[in-house]
Amino acid sequence: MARTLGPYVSSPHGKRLMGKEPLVFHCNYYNYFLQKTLLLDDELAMHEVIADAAASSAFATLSNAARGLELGTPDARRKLAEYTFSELGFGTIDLSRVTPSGGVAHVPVSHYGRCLRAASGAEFARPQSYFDAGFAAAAASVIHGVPLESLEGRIEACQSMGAPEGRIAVGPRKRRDAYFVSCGQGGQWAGTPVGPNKDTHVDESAILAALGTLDFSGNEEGLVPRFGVMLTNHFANFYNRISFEFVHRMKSTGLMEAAEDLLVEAGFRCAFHTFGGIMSSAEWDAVIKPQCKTKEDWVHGMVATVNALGWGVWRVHELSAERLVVRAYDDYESSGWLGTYGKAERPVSYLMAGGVAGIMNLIHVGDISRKPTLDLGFYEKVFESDARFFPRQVKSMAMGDDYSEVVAER
Amino acid sequence: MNGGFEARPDERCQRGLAVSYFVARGYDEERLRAALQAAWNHSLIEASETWGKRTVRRLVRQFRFEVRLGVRDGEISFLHRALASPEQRAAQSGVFESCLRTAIAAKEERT
Amino acid sequence: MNTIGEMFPGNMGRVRLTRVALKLRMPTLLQTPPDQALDAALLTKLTLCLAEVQKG
Repeated sequence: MARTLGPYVSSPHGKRLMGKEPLVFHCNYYNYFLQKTLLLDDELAMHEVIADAAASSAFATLSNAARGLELGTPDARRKLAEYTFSELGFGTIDLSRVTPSGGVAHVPVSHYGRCLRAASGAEFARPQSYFDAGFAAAAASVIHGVPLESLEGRIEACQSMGAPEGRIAVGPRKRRDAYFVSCGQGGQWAGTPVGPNKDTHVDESAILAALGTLDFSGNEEGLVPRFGVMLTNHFANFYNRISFEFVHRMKSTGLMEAAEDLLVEAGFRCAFHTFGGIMSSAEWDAVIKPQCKTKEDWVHGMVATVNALGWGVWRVHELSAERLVVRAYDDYESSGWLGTYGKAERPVSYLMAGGVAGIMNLIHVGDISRKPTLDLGFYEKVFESDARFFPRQVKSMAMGDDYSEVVAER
Repeated sequence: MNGGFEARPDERCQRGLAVSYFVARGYDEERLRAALQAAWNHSLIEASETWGKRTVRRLVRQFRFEVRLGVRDGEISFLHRALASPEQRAAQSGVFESCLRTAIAAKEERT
Repeated sequence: MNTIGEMFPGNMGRVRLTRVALKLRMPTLLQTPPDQALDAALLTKLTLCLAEVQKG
């Protein structure tokens, strides 16, 4: 289908950009568990941060794309915004009733409104589509040339609460805090990563080439059903902003480390469902499994697949049945931290930590090759196992190292 | 098995939107493709993807469903779209299964 | 159930306890010995909070 979009641009170390904003693939399970963590403490007002982070990333993407495509009319920019929302897997949004002074955006299909329920296992106590609210505000700003600072989006109706469609009211901004300005690609390492590990039957370049032929665009509804999950081709800076701001806001509560633990746990959930889904999928069976002769090959195959997700370049540095050491060059979490806050005092690659341990837990504890049902019961079985793997972040690009390194051991 | 196939909804992710069909004795893929197109007045959008040595054919009725043929030997993926109502999902599943029976019978006639 | 350990068993329980501690802003919960008896008021508070946290 022909959509007006900012072009995808490849950037070093496996990154992909649209409108100069880095994109990363994540699934509905990670989107749910991350957001659930962030919304735990009402006093932090993280729902505002989520909407604002969405607005910041969307504004950067859409305004850069509109400029690059020389879209001179509001109608052309509206179509860009609507198509971008759908292309990236967020759903379908109708911005035609949003004017320069505000209005209501209709969201007949919303990833956040519809697709998080599969992960939650329970009805929602509050709406989930804060991302849509921020996106709508940013879109209105770009469409009508109105300063982003003057607008905000507010959820009027959300499918997660049973509404037939989402509705976002875009109007004058009431909050005083300023929008965060996206750092774009952020901090980058200028070196060249080591090549893929040769001590495996897995051919990473062949895997990346094969995955590169698959269609990861949002379908006509703006959703991306792949690997048994619902993917989003999401803004790295959105994830970084909401995660890092959460940690910042927890500093004064005495619970910062606990907050970091929960971000890593969200990474475990991501690994379990996204990686588990990938390793159980028909796509894996066809493209990657034929190369896998050993459990170690499964680890290499999954790491090769990670390198197609825009997360940076992961390399297996050390691997045995008891230990996995992964080095990530330009991991998106560190890139985002460096670009926004400068050098970090502690490692910030929470998703990477959960992901690395998750790979070993799936392969060595969960025996993912048998295609178990990836439900809560199975997650608990793996998580409670005495044989499960724990991650440690031992190096961090955000702290000034050349790469981030996670060690997963039992 | 009902008519030579087994349907298993994927409850894990797409909450009943995704159904996998397992056909133990195989089916005539071209016959199924043609029957589906005929059932929907040749309006289905077709595309294919290469997964390693496998070619997966996709047939899409926009805002209603997507069929993926050849995902694994004897396995077909049927994905209802989120906007399809429960009544539409039931109806399109029924039509699909009827076409599948035709394709299974066609394969059995040949062998 | 009168102790942290009974209310939040295992590794999954530890995650739930962390969520509860965060929601209630009670870091001391994470240092409470698992077999320490809890008073009735705290038990009630934790029970209600856990129910909130278990929602979607």
